[in-house]
Amino acid sequence: MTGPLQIAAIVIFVYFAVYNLLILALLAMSYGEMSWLVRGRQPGRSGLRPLAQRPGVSLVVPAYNEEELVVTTASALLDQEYAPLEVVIVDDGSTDATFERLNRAFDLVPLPIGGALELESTRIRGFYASRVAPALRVLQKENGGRADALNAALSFARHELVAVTDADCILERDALTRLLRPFEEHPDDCIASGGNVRVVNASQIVDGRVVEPRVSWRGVDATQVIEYLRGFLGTRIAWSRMNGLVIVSGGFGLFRRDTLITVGGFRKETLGEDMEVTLRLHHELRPGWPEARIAFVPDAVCWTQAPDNLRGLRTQRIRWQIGLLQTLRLHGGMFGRSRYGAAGLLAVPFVGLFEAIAAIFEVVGYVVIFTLVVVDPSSWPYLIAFFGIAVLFGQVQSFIALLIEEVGFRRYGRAGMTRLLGWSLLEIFWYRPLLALWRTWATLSYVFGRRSVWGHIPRRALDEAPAESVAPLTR
Amino acid sequence: MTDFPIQDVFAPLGWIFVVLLAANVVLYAFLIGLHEKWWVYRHRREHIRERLAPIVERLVSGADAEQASDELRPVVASLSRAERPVGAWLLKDMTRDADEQTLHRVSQILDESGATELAERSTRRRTAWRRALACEILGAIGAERSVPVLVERLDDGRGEVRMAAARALGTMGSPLAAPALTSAFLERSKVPTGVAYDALRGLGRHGAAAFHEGLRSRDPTVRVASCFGIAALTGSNDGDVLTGVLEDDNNIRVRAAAVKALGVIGGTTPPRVLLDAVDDPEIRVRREAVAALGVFDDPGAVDTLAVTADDPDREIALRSAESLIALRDRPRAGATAAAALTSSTAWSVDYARTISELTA
Repeated sequence: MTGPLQIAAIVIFVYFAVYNLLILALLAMSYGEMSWLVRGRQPGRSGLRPLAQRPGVSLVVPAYNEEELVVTTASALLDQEYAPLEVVIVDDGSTDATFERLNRAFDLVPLPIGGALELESTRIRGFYASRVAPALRVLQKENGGRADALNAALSFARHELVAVTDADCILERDALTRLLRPFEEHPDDCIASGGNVRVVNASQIVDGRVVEPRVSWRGVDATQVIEYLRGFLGTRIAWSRMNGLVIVSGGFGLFRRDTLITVGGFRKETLGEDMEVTLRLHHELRPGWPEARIAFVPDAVCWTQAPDNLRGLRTQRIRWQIGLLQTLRLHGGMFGRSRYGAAGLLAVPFVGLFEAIAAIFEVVGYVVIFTLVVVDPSSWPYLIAFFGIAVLFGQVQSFIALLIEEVGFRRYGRAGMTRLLGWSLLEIFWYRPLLALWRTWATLSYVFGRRSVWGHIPRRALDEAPAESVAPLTR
Repeated sequence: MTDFPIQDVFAPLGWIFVVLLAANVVLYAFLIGLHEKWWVYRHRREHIRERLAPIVERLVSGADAEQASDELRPVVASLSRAERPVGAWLLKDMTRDADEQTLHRVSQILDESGATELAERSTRRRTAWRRALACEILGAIGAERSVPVLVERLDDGRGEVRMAAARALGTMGSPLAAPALTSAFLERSKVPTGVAYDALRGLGRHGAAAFHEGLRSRDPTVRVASCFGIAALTGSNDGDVLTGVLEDDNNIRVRAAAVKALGVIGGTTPPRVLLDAVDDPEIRVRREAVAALGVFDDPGAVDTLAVTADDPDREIALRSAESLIALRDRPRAGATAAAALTSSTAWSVDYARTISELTA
């Protein structure tokens, strides 16, 4: 009985050792890049070009039943320092007073809906401009979900670049300007850039702006702060350096409008439309356009409200896990293939072999270790050693993520840092097992219950090299 | 199976534990050290700012500029070797919106204080980000004698240092940098196109030759940037060059860029090829063409735009209507455009008119 259990324990141990070492390598690479970005480049960043020689940005915000937030969000977004800017709020069939609040605050005027739209969406009810804020547009449509709302907005957006964010997100005033940097450096090859999403819970907000980032005493909030730091600063900087970024966060991303339309916009069938569209850009464009790049910009900051209770966290993580599996199913063909660059060769295998199934290994690991201890009480030292090593490994990762934060941003004071370190020390005992359980549940329910939604990628035959299918960016 | 030697397999666990524990202690100490280091840096920066601010305020206000310059000199000279780069940045930051003369004075003071030599030496340091920072400081000081040092950094092993050097050369705007930046722009291997493009634009008319040469490049990306560069730097005299591109270049992106660039230059009569571009088989060229026509004050373009305002492509229709609105206020084409707008039933005209009224 103990023999197979012992072998399983070793396999799981080796799996997590490899996974953690890879994460450490990514963290180390991100640390190197971050120190570069901040120390070497920050002071001398070139100024903005004259207005007429900058690409315009349409900032798109889907809103569903956001009556409490929508006016503050719209006002804050209109206050972005970048121009030319257009803010498109999509009321995605809200059943509350989202549209009425916008109408009251911004004195909306109907615009003709006009000719054929480039992407399909649910029925458009109206399109409006504002008497108060000339840069604001409001699109009212029947409910179709986030991806559908984004597609509708893409059809109505007028600028060359489209930034995507959420109604509950707060963008720093210079966030768009910073997010544009990869497009300025590589105007012919940059197709998307993603911003850094941070957890806003417990921070002080005044007039839709974060004036003092704080870390909550509560474990759910604080642990997510450290988790986001590890995820965004810790690994995405490294993937971006390798041009293998597989997700431009839906919280804050910037895309070339024509490229998104060329690949068919956002997919409504997946729960993780942000990751799916990023992988699709790699999948469809990279073979014919090897120079195409998707970048992560760590100093373009977007603050988001993370779930502040376990029920909300559970819902979110189940959705993310199913979205991840759906996306991998759609783009599994990229696995290990060099024609997709680092995305196919490294990032997709990493996500497929580790991020997608690590939760299952973790749950099985807990079961195996505890069974082993019950069957063979002399195995107690291994249980302790496993947990000890897991805690220390996790803590090393958190330290490096915090170092990156400290080198680059220094947003949190000493108290905040102490709370983050404290909660990261404890996360193995409650947060990670919970996440593993939810994600395993999501995986199993997806595999056994929802296989029918797995689909195929509708391929469009591009009659020319993808690089030639986009218009030159204004400069 | 019960004899499986798990003890042997897991024997190194203790060592792993110890190594990880040590790593945690080291990282914790490093984190605390870094936090304190930034505190010291911030403190030093504020101390320097306090010393500089009252003098710089007088310098920028212009009331007492000569005397302020004289007072600033010894203050800058008294900064230690470690403080000087910080002082240089603070000075540049505090005088960011000052007039040309003040900027020149500040650069001169920094140069006299030895900041240029210090930064030039730093461009050869082992740490890459320090080399990049030194390049940027040289760009901010703007001493022309640093151009060869920065040109040398265009061949640095690290891409970021090369970018910093190119940006610094663009900021300085010295014609001496033109050959090196031209070569970087044409080769594309040293710095990204956008960075070389911005640096060349920083050289003003001295950078224009690079864009003319770029039009002959075999690389479409260089030709695209060249079209924009010509429009930004050389103006109306070079419309012919761009019409030549439109006639001879088969690459869609380059042709679309040429049309867009013609729209930046503008004028009174649009070239024939621009009017023809409205019927181009390529939609991206057509979209740019109808937008560009709105910049030329020509009544002859109005009929074309009135037709394309009804185009099935949403973007062509909207851009055409916006062009008609733009022409409505021009001296030559105004009356014809106003009449076309009045008689049009196109949805796009309605749209553009509403937006125009709201933004008026």
